[in-house]
Amino acid sequence: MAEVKLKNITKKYGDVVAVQNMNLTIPHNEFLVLVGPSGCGKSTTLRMIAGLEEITGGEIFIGDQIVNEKDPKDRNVSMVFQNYALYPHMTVEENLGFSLKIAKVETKEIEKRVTDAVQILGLQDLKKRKPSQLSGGQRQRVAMGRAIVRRPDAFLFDEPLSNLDAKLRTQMRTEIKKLHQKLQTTIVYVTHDQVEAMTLADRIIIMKDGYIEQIGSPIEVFSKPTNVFVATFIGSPPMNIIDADIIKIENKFYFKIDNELMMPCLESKYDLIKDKKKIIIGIRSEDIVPQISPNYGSEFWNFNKKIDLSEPLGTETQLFFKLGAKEIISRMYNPRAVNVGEKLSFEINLNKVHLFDSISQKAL
Amino acid sequence: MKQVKKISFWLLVLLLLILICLPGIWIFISAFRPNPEILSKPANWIPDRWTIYQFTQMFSINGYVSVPAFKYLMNSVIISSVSTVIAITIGMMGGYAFARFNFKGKNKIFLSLMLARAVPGISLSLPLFILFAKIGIINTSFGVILVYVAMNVPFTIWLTDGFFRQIPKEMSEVARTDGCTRLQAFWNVELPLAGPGIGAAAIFAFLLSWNEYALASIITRTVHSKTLPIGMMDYLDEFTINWAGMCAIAVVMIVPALILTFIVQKHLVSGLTFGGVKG
Amino acid sequence: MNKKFFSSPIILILPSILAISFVIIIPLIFSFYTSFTSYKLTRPDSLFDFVGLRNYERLIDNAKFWYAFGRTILFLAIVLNLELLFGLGIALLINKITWGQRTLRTIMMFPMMFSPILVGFQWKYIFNDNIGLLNNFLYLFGYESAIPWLIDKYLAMGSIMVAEIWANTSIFAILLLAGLLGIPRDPIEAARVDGCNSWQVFKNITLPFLMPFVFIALTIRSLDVGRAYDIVHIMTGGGPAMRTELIWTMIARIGYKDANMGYANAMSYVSIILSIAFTYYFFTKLVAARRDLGQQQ
Repeated sequence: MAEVKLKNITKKYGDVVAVQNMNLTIPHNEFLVLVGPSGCGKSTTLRMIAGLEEITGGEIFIGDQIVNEKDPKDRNVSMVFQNYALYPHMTVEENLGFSLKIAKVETKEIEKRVTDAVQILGLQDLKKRKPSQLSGGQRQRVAMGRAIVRRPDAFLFDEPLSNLDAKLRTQMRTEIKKLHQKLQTTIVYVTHDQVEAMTLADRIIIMKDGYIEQIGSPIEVFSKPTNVFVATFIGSPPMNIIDADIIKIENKFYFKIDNELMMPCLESKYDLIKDKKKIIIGIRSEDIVPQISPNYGSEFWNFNKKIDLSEPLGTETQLFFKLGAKEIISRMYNPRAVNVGEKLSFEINLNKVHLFDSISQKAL
Repeated sequence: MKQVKKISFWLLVLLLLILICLPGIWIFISAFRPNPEILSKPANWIPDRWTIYQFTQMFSINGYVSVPAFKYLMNSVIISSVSTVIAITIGMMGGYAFARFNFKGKNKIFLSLMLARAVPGISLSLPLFILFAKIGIINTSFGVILVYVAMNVPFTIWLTDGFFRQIPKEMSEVARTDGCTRLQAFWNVELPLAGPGIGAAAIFAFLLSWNEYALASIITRTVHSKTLPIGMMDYLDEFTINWAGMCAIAVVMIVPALILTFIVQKHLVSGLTFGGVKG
Repeated sequence: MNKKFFSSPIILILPSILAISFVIIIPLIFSFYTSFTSYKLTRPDSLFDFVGLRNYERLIDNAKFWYAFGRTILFLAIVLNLELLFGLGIALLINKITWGQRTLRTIMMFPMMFSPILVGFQWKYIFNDNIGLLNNFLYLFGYESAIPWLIDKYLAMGSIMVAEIWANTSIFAILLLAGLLGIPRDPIEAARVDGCNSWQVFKNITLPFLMPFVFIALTIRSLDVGRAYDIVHIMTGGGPAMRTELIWTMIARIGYKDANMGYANAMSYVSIILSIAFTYYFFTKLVAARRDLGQQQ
């Protein structure tokens, strides 16, 4: 029952900065996901909350206490590791009860809590087994069970699903989500997989090089990325990014992509771009729509392009072609064969185009 | 052609086995033969009669003691066991520190420890003899134990460092978030996991003490503290050797060593190589 | 205090350092001092008779010492190389065996566990000119004149080497075998596909992989070279006519028989530097080989 608060947290390894001046409040019962490429500082942040990594600067609060100087054991948090870190010399039952035994909880109470956890996770038949006799998914469950049993103030997950195969990962993802709803506790979850982040999180923090790039709900970070990095990191396939020059013809602004194509700019955005020479355009692949009968209106822009490659995926077909110097992906929700070299007509709703400053890469 | 290759291959293996085993077997056989038979010319390959005379002599079952081997054996057992327990305890602490912590001069300290171990026993025995005589622990089990602890510590560190590093760091970390202190995490998780390896290190230390000669031959002076390797020399006079007796005491020395080796051989190799390979 | 106790590496290492200081470092400092005195066991007051570098000068002028020194180097060079070579051969041999490999590996380890003093005695027994196994064996084939293995001035050294090699080849064999078993199949198969023959595979893949193991074995082995003293001491005692005198037996003779401690300590220092140099050399080689292998992977 506690919120976790990070105040100006910095972590340095010698001269290398792993986390820079991080501020964050995680309210009780929130499912917070830290996501970013490897080396972005997300795991370091988690390990600082756990107390496994010393804090170079700043303060961490759990509840209303500063925990900077506290040992991991006194922070009342549980951590689930990427490789599960089950105790190989103990049975499932002993693994689950270990933390309580250390805390000198009564045997009866230990039994009760272990039984509860075993039931929640469906481990009834495996109680007497050793970790080496379990499958990957089962080990994952035991690792979570070990965290549950302690009734911690916060759960910390460090890439818990990355050692599982794709199918199992999807399944465990759902289970973690359900578990959170059942247990009603704070979860801080680290992953490099943006799909995991999107599906699990109440709030996502996208990190890069020790800095927070954006904080927001999954929908927010998807629909309103604050910069090019977030735009390309969240969403699959990544958002198409195109460099363009801004030109003015007869009092109208256009984005010149190459010698043939000029995308008109919506009038509502003139103020944002009128002083600029260059721009970065971001368009999600589902917003580049292959169209047979184009819509008319000022917010639509149509163009024809030759297809370089098509990849049918069943529900959709991904079409690859060049726009300016960049390779672009479009999604066609119409299962038909597309030949290489075929010329298709595409339509873009200009309201769905993201604009980024060409220098700062920040959203306009 | 393939057949020839195969046969010569197995002949080579056989030759190897003979070279390794024959000397020991010959000693073993001789220990149960009377001296005149050993000395007979031409050689008497197959013993005419077996005798345990040398052993009854050693262990004074007939009330007559030629060489107080039983006392030597007890000295050896006590000195080797006690020094092993101490060496393993403090060596393990050191190994843990090298495996789990980063600190200034880590590699240099490690190297210095190993180099200290490289000092030849005989070169060390001169000053040790004088110093131990001065502080009055010459010819005591305590003195020998002290020396063997120091001799065994560096190698124990080398081995246990390897074993602790084989255990993922997360084991200790998860135990600590599970509510353990570092010491509890070590005691409940890391020590049980490294157990077999530490056992191997212990047996290695035991054997080094059990077999050591150069230092013990100087520090121990009388039956009060002499160990088996020193006691063995009782059978060796300037000009004559009691061959059967010496073979018998050799058997007493080697049988425990072989049994212990047999128990730990698997872990021993993994410990030696792991510590060395994974820097 | 208690809380931090297990978190401080220095405190954890301290007992080890204390034990080693007391038994090794302090005595060495003391003996370093005595090597500048004319200290004789029989005359305790001579401990303060400072003679400067005279012991070392005597050492340098003593041809017998340099013979022993040179003999020691030669002895180590020959036995270490042969042990490595035989060890590699045995490891390759056992690596080929599929049936009974574990048993054979265990048997291989037995010589490692023989006390050097026992090894010495065992070979003294085998090489005995009168009742030794070897001469008895040769007698069967008609060599009726007993060969004086340990008394002949040339044969004695060879006999000691045989004992030394018998005792210490197994450490090489065991560790190299562990190395061979740990070599990943992929690079070997890739090399085969690339058209390497067996020798090329061995030279280009197997051997580089084995190098760290070679150096582990050499490092461990170098820690114990001084134990050859035990073997020589019991087999020949340095004889005949000092033909098998190694630096270590010479130290013992001068220190204990002649009771000339200062002089013997000066000699000890040379032997200590020799041992430490050996260990240091192989240890740095080991670290380098380890780094190379780490980069490859």
